[in-house]
Amino acid sequence: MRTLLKKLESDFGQAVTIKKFGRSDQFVVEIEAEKLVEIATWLRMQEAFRMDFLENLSLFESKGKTVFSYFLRSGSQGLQLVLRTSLATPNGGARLEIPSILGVWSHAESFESEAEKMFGVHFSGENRASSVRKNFGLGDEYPLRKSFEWGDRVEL
Amino acid sequence: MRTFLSAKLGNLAAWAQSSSLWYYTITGGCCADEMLSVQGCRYDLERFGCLPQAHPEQADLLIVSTAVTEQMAKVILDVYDRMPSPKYVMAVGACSNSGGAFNERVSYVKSRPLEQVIPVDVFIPGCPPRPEAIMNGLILLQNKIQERGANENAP
Amino acid sequence: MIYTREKLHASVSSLSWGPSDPSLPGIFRLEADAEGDLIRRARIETGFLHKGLEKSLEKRSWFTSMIAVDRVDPEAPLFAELAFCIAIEEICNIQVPRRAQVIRLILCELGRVGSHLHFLARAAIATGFDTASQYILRDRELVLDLFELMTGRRFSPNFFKFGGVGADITEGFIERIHETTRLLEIRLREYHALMIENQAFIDRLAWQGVLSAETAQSKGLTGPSARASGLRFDVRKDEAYSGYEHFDFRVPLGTGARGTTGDGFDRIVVRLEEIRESLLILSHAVDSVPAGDFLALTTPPDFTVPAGEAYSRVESPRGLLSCHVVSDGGAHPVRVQWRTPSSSNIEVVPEVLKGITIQDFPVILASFDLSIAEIDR
Repeated sequence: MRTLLKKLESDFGQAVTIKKFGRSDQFVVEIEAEKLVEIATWLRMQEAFRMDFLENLSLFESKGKTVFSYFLRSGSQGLQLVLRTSLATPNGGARLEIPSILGVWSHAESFESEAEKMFGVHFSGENRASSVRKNFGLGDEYPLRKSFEWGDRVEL
Repeated sequence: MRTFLSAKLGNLAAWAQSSSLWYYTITGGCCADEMLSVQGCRYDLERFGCLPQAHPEQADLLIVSTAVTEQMAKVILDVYDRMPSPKYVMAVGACSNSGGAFNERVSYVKSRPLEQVIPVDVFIPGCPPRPEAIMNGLILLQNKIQERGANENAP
Repeated sequence: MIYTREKLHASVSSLSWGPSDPSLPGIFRLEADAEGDLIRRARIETGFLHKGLEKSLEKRSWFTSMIAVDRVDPEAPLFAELAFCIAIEEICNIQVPRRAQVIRLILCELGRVGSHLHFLARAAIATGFDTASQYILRDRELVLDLFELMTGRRFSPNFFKFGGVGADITEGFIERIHETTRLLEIRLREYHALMIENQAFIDRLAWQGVLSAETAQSKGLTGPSARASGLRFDVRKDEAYSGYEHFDFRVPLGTGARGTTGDGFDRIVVRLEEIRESLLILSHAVDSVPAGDFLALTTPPDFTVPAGEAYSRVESPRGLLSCHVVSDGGAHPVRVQWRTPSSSNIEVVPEVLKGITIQDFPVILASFDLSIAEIDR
């Protein structure tokens, strides 16, 4: 995997930073949000990688930033990779803006629509075609943001 | 003489109603497993005369075992309104009894007791309650109907 | 004008089922545009069973978090527990003893058998085959009895702990597993005759709700429904966890024996064969439980996980279940995110329902084994 990632580094240079994911043997590629679609398409199309399955899109908030983690895997090459980008968490009810990767992986629909409702993210650039709608009854609030509180906070 | 007859007929009606409570279930997911087990052949609920119904319009008993959030409360109220009276309600599981694992202290959906939405006749605690507990609750409901008489429960 | 069928194009009527409807496998709304009795377009609205589970995990301490984790997938709770434990053990660098790993494997395979039996019972009810569903529920009680013997509870066992399991193997458990697997193998032959060889059952499912491998892959389908369409992906084989690498088992794929590959019938047959494979794994596993500890460490009530993150994958009865845990060393998790198989599997349903008659859609929906509680969390 290291040698394959060297190819990614040579093609994109400073735009990518490669680290280890936690304690595991997996690698995480950190990039800027503007390059997301370009690098995702490269990872999908490159012979050596062929990342055709977006397994998961997970968001979490840490130190004022919202971190997007795209967990990718390749069926044919047996590879796994995490693509990561961060955006500053906005104040109040403002939404986060990030390009959508529906054009690269069409099954990103369910993850993007959930992130939209839970974290208040606007995935720009692609049309939603899914016939599965999620209605959590949340109104204008984005519950999974750290700034969201309700009632009395009780420690359990 | 007339009051004696009407009392006896009332008892007959109460006995008939309690012995054939046809039910409609609204299950969330956790208690749905136990509801299916209780309909199975080991803990057969049908021996008490309870038949599962496909429409609330043909049911006497509403069994609610889902977390009562704001969205589900609308669904439950809609189903309850569609049932013709006399109708009875059984709250199965901790979520409908008192909020359960998703009450307002822990979760923003603020699962509330079912009592705040519709009148409840029997409460069956547990998470999920054992099938024997559900059968016990049903027997309690049958006794309640027979003691009170069928006419009392018609709103 | 004389009213002929050609001149009168049948109007497209809008129908809606749910949220609470017995023909649906859970609480969600299904809207369909129908022409006559054929569904032309289907739309699904979920979210009624939303319980705010992921946020509630951020409020709970690490010690009490298993209560919420159990309710991610209520029909097969042990898989969510296993995914969570594997992620925590990775962050904390806890080595799980071999004995605990095999106990976890045994209970997970038992959970798989129970969940597939539950699916078969619901599929039988959806097709109107109540007799078969009663037989299957009778056998599911045997599996639940085994759970009660080992963990003390039928559902929501809260049994897997960080570093192992909650208790050692109960006395008599291994003999009961052997008895139950022998009995279930005989019963599987009965179900084969009752359902797989039953022409009426075949007619309701074969050639119906066909899902091609390309559609399944483009929608990110995983689990037995994907394997019925020919996609060979099973986490137990591709990235073995918790001791699966030591056991030899087959991963059944759909063959289109009665209809075509990827139809509703294949999805039923694949799960029946998976029950058979799980019973084989069980009978080998209980005979080879290594000696040792069942728990590496006792979790104190103020247990904290050091700063870090981990991502774990398990093969749940519905597909790929994964858990992303992020910690900053505090008393509560920063984030616990669940990727549940049914959330991705349901995306393929509106596509499959096109061209299905209204009489058949409950059967096709039931053949996908969706857990709505898992989708909404």
